[in-house]
Amino acid sequence: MTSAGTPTVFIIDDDAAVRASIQDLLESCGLRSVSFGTAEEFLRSELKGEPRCLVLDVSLPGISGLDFQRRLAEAGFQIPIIFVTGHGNIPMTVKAMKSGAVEFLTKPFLDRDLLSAIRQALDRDQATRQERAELAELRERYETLTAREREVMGLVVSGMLNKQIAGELGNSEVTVKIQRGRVMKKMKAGSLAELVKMGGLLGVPPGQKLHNTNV
Amino acid sequence: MNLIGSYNYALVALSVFIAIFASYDALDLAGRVTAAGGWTRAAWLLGGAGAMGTGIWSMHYIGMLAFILPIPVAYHWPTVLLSLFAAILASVVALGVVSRQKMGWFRALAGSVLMGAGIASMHYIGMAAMRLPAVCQFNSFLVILSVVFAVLISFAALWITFHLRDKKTAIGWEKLAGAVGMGAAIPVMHYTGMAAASFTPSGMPTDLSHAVSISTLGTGGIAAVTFVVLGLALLTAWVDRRFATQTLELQEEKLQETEAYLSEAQRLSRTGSFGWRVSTGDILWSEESFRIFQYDRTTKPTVELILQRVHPEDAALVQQTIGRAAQDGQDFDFKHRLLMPDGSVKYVHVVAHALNDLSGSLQFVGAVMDVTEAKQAEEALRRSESYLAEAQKLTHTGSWAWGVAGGNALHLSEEWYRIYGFHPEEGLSAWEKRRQRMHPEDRAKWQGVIERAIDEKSDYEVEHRILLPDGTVKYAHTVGHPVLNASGDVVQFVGTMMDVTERKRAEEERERLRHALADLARVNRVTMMGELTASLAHEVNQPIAAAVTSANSCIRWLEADVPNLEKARAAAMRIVKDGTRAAEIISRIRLLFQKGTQQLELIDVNEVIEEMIVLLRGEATRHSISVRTELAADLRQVMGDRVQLQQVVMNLMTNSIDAMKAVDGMRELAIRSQRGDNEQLLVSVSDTGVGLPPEQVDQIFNAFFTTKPHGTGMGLRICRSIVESHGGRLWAGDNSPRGASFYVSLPTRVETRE
Repeated sequence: MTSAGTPTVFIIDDDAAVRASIQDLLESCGLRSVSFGTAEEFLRSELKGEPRCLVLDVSLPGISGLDFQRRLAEAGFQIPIIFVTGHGNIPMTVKAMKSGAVEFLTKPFLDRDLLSAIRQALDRDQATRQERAELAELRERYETLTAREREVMGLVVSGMLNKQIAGELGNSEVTVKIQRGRVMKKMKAGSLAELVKMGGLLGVPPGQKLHNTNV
Repeated sequence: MNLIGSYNYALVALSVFIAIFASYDALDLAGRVTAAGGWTRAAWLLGGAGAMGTGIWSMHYIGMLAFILPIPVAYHWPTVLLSLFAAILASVVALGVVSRQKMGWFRALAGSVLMGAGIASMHYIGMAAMRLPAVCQFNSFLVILSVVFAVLISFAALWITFHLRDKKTAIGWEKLAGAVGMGAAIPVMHYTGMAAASFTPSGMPTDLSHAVSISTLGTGGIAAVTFVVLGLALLTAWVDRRFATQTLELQEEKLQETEAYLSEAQRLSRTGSFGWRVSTGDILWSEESFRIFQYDRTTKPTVELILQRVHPEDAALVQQTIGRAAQDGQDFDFKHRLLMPDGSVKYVHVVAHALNDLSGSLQFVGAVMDVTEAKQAEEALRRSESYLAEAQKLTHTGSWAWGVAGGNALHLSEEWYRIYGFHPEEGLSAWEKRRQRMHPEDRAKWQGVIERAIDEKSDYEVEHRILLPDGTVKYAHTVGHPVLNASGDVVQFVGTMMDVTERKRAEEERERLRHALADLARVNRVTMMGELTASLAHEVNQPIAAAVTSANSCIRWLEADVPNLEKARAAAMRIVKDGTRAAEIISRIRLLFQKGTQQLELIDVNEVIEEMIVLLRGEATRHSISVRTELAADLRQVMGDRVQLQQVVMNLMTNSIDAMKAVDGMRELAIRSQRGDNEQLLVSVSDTGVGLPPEQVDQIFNAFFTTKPHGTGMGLRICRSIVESHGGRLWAGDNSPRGASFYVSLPTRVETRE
């Protein structure tokens, strides 16, 4: 995965005229776009790696836009979605926004609304991609920790003192101190607060003993 | 002392011969007198009597001369002439009697007494003419005997003459024998009378003034003259008879011919003649009468035989009619039926004239006409007329004819009167009164049509109303046809008038129903469209959204640092296209909202299906339904109302969509069109929905039947009405493997309706 490359806007709408007009609008703004008549066509395409967003018509043949949004999320496929519809209503809008939609536009829409939504979506995509890259880095670092060090890190981010950790692990306080220093170093954490944040991002369970040797 | 007379027997013989000759003459002449009439008869009577009288007198005188007295006898000639006159008078009486058509006893007796008296007078006057020197005495017994003989002989003579007079032959043996008998008898009287006289000589001188003596030569002269007179009479009679015979033969021939003609005429005209003598019951029939009554010619016709043939139902009438006629002696004229032995029925018309003959007995002469054919024709005519009247009544059609010249009606049928609310008894004068019953608003139109028809000598046809006095309005349809004379002028119009009120009312009713259906259909459409608002809005929004977006791009292309005109033009063209599309959709929707009556045009059903798919695609999409079409390319056009057919397709499609909203799995709406049998086309709308309600398939087309929570239950009912008003059918069935199918068949060749 790379953060480089031209952003691409995907459009799914069963109406060819609508597709053509949106594509042309994006082109006039220098945006690259690819359009699909159905959700299936989109899924079959090979263009998912690039920075992108999705302009999705709510009424699609076969499956509704909202259902499609849910299915993408379930599949872990993260892409910012801008909904467009010919006959939107409030419940539909609420549902879409709750599910993480960037914008919900009613046809006919203003070009700047669509364009700003697309920019926002692309930014969000950008941010997401960055976050994901940082997390991957942290995971790599975490992988380098020994089992004991992961135990110590978990106890540290849960806010326990060295003495408490030593008591918990049945070690001396000095040993804990050395292990804690190694964790900080391996994780490249400048401070305890930074380590706690990393633990949160990695989902290290706080205050949990990895090996329950004794109670 | 009596003088003894003797007879010259030669003269006696001569006298007898003359008597025979004269008798023969008398017989012959009697026939001529009978045959003649008027003046001819009088001439024959007088001439004949003259000849006969001369003969009788001559016989007497020759007989007198044959009597020889020993004294000279002279004759006083005026007395002789007087005796001749008596003889002629007696002959007149005799001929007068025998030449009559009939001879009764009284007439015969009176005639013979007169004739006998005449002859006796002649004899004794002749005796009185004798001038001789002697006294003549008469033996009264012999005198009476001689007169009796004269009368008896006369009677015999009259009887013989009467019965022999018509013998045609010149010399018949019967006639000759009669003449001999008569001729022999006459001298009997004479010689008896002579025997009665006895002469006694007297000394008195004979008065010889005017007396002549008859010499032998004189006797011969008398005889000769007598023969000449008698002979001439005979000759004349013979010649006349010859002529008469010839005339008679001719007449008879003519008569036979006439009779043949008459018989033929009777046969041809089926008219038999008859005579009926009431007193004797004798009936005379002509040949044709026998034929009509179907009796053999040898049968003797009687009243009983006639009654045998009379139809039992008419027997009383016949008996009564002829009974009364026989009683009153009145003419009669009546018709009745005959029932023939073979069971057939004849109609006869009998006319008879009453006559009283000379003897005073009642007689009828008449004719019996076989009028069966005329009667049958008349009955056939009456029957056909009654059928016609019945047909007119059933079809409410009256017939009429009117003359152009006076504008008068020439014929008006009963039904015509009935339609106008007149009574047939009012007669042709009702024709004038009809003008007042013509609806005032239609009079001018009606008048114009008729005037044009007269001008153009053409047929005419006009629909008008009739306003009856009670306010009832009728609708009539009149058709007229001109009748031209030889020179091509319109003389009359004939035609019919049909009461079309019922049809008109039914038409109005149908029209009202059509309007009601149209209104109901519209309500249904509007309801349906209301339910589809979201989808319809979507359909309109799509092109508008595209257009707005394209317009924005267009501006951007133009506003760029380097304007891209190519791109801008392309965007503008898309705007045009999208705008047009939006307008089309809107106009289609508007059509469905429109209010109006049926408008028939030729319609491509595939087009209708596609238009409705455009409108309903959004709705289908919204419910994740895929729409599939299989439309036949070679579909014929249908005569129908576009909006109504669109409504049917739309209704079936929305029903299908509704049926699939709640089902899991495949949701497919399939619409097919294909050519069917018998110039029909078939459209089917199938879905994979919940299917038809089980055991209620028959009810789904009923009004107010619905399975939907908010359905009106009118949709399918209206669809069926629409399809049926197009002459088609709408029905439902199950779809395989799931759902329902609706089928519409429509005729592709529809008769043009008004």
